[in-house]
Amino acid sequence: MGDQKTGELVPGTLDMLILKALARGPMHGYSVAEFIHERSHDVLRVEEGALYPALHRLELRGLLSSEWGVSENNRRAKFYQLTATGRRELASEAERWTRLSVAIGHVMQTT
Amino acid sequence: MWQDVRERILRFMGIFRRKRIESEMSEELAFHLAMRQEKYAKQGEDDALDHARRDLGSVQKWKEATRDVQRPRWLEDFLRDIKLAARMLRKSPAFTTVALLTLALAIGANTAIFSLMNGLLLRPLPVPHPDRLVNIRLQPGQFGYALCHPLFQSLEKRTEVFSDVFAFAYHTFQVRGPDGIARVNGTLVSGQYFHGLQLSAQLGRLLNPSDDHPGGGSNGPVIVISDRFWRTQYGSDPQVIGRKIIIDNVAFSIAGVTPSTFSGAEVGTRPDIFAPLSLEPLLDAPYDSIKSGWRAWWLQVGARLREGVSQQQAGAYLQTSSQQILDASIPNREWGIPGHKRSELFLKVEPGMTGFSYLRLRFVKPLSALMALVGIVLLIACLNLATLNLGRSAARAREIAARCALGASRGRLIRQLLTESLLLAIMGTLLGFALSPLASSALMAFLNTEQDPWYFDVAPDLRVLAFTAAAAIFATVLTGIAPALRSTGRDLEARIREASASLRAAERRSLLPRVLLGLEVSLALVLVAGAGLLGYSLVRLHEIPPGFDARGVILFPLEMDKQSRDGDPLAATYRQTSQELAQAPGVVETSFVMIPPLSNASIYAGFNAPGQPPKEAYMNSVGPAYFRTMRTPLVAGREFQWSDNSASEQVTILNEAAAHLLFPAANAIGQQIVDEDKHTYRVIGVVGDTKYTSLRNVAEPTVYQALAQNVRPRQSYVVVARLNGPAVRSVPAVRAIIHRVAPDIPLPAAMSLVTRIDESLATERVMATLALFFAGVALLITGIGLYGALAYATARRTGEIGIRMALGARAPDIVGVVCRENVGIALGGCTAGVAMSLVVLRSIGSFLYSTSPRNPMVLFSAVLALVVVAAIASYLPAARAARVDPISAIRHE
Repeated sequence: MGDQKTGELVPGTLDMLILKALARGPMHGYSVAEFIHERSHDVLRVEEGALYPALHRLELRGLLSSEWGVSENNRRAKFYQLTATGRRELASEAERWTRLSVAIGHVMQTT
Repeated sequence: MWQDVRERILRFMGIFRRKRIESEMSEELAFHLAMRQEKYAKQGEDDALDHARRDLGSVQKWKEATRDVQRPRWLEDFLRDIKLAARMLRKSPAFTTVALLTLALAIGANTAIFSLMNGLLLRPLPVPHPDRLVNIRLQPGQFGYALCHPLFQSLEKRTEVFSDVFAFAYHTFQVRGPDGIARVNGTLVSGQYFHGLQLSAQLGRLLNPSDDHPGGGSNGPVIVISDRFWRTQYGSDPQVIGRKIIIDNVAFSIAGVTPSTFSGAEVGTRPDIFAPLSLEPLLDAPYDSIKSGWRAWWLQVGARLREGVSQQQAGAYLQTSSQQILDASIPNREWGIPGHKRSELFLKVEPGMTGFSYLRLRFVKPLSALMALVGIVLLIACLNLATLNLGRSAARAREIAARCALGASRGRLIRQLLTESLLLAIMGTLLGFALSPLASSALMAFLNTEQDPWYFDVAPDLRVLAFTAAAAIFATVLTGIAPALRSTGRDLEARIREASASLRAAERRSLLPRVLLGLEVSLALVLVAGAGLLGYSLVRLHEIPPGFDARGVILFPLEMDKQSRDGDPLAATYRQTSQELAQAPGVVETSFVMIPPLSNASIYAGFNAPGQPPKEAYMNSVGPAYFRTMRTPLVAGREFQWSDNSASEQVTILNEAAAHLLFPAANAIGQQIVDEDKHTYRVIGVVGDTKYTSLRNVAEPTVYQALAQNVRPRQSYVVVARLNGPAVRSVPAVRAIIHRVAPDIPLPAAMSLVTRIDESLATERVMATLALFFAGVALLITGIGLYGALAYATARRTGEIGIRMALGARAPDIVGVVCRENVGIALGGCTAGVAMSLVVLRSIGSFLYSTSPRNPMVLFSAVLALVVVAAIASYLPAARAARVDPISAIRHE
């Protein structure tokens, strides 16, 4: 199922992307998905079936905290927010990712 | 790392927040859907809602995924399994009831007996660092735990290896109260006792070395009382410190109260009064064990190891300096333990973590035997449930096949089936565990004796919990694993076919349930045979003629050691008591005896005929007409009279064994014998042999001395009264007379001689009774197992039986066909059981009295009992099968 036209996520990156999205401030699940979709120039598409379990898992691990609040269109929504641990996790994940992608880039550029 | 832990805990907690998590999840989802719909609507799509729903895909699937995050899957499955298992158990109430009752009984009995073993053998003393305590004993020899005072004093100086050395001795105190004199159990303790145990008082202070001086410390004689005594006698009065109390004619003041958890360093006793050891001469008067020096062996000695010294080091040190210590303590060079040279003796250090107890020597073997007994009962109960479960899972083959076909994995199915066993085991264990304290206490009361009471803590602790949990796990695995493996074992297709086929030949012939049942039968046979042997031995013990007629005889022990009369005036008191008692209602005859038969006490001494070497014999002292009162035959001569007193010639009566020992060739009457102190006695009578120390022993050669000629200071005697009516009428009258004649002694307790004989066989009686009880339980369980398994199998053969009947089989044929199943099991089980009994029951040989562990009559009776049970268990389902209506049976298929 899911939309085959848009890009699949690189496995293992969803958590990092969610943390990155939330680095800008509290958000509900829908806008996390939209954020990733837009910022990737419509390449990356987060499946809801993966997004919400991931959000819950990150919350249980203490990387996120959540709170019920009111959305921009006056609906009750669950807002997620980075915790201090989450911020540290994001920093180390981002650093790891940069290192990895540069390394992969080097490999792929060899002629 | 901590993230992991946190996640696990929160996930586990998710179980309890289930409703909230569900509703939040739905709300979050609804919000997402609404936002997406809004977006598509803004983009001008007509079917915005449908599109949004399509985007979301299967709502259920991702809800499931989110749920998995919130709650661990295995836990979810487990809860579901529990629910299903509970439903399955409710559906078969008969099975569930039998399973629960047998498991509760088996696990309750195991826990109860383990609690006793735990209290006696395993529980550490409730003091700080009990692992640093040791007991000191003399080796070799059986009674090495009792040391003499000089030896203790030498040990006290060994500060190289011990930080504290302390001694204690059991003592019964006579406490003067408003209602007369009460007997209170207590301990005499040396000054370092409480310091060595590192205890502090819950109120006031405990005893210290400054209290342990002859005549008391600077505050005079002080004692410490137990928490129990403080509560029961003083109503937990905080002002109790400094209160005066008269004990054994000495005025003490109360210095403190021990912690409530502490009940002495000797496990099994429950001392209420702790008094300084140096006051022993005052308390023990007219005796003085301290002054007796190396002649009195009465002290248990414990020690706390010095910091940095290991038990091995202390032991090695003590062993090498043993001779030096012995030489310093015991000046008499000739002293030794019979059978061992003095140079062979040495002092030994034993672990003292669990305290010290004489009871261990007495109860370790019977308790171990009982533990094995109830262990077998648990095994039988588990085998039984395993068999019944096999039957049940065969009946559920269709259901299991269907689950398999729907994609359940084998592991998942096994887990589900095991859950049912687990649920049963847990419920059975809880039930058994709840009952076990009752059972332990009852068992303790049952094993206890009036003349020699003991007590220890049987409250469940962590060790008992661990034991019970292990028993429950054992039960779960044993009852569940075989059926679970079997019913999920074969390939799916075969199972589906079999589940619906009317002929299930393979299943009927399968070996496993028959082997399990056969094993159950053989174990039950071992139990029944063992119980039979113990019971038979007990009967044999009761058949032993003691040499007197115990029926109607009541004993009243008088305690004369603390009153003031002695010598002739004391003899006069006894005589007056005897004369007044003759008037009491229902009293036919009375006399006195120093040591009543079978009372764990004895005096052993050397006597010789003039010119002959001394012979070892037992000694006792009795009043006039003692043998007539006891119905012991007077073989020759006469009994003692009151006129045999300090003024007349010293006389003695011998029993036949003693007469034969001292005068093998001649008539003893009129002869003289000489004791170790060179006193000469003339033999005036010979009486029949009586059992002195134990019913099991051959009647001991006994030399009797006349009461009024006994030179022991303030000797106490036991009144022996033969009644011709109910004891309830005479006992109060006798006690009233004793109180009138001797108001300055504690009011004596009364005990019938029959009870005393029974109590001397208490261990044997309890063993036999419990063994018979558990054998009965094992028989019942085995019967239920045989019945249950056959009933299941028969119910599933209804169609076949219908066909057989339609083809002309008559009722007896059907009964035969059905019963055949169990005949094989019973025969095989009995054969194996007899073989097992012959091997296993040898281990109880030491408990048996003139009964061979291979007694053929007992073995035969045991086999008969099992055959009868098997026959009843087989006949019931067979008879039901024979009543089957062939038409409906065939149609039913």
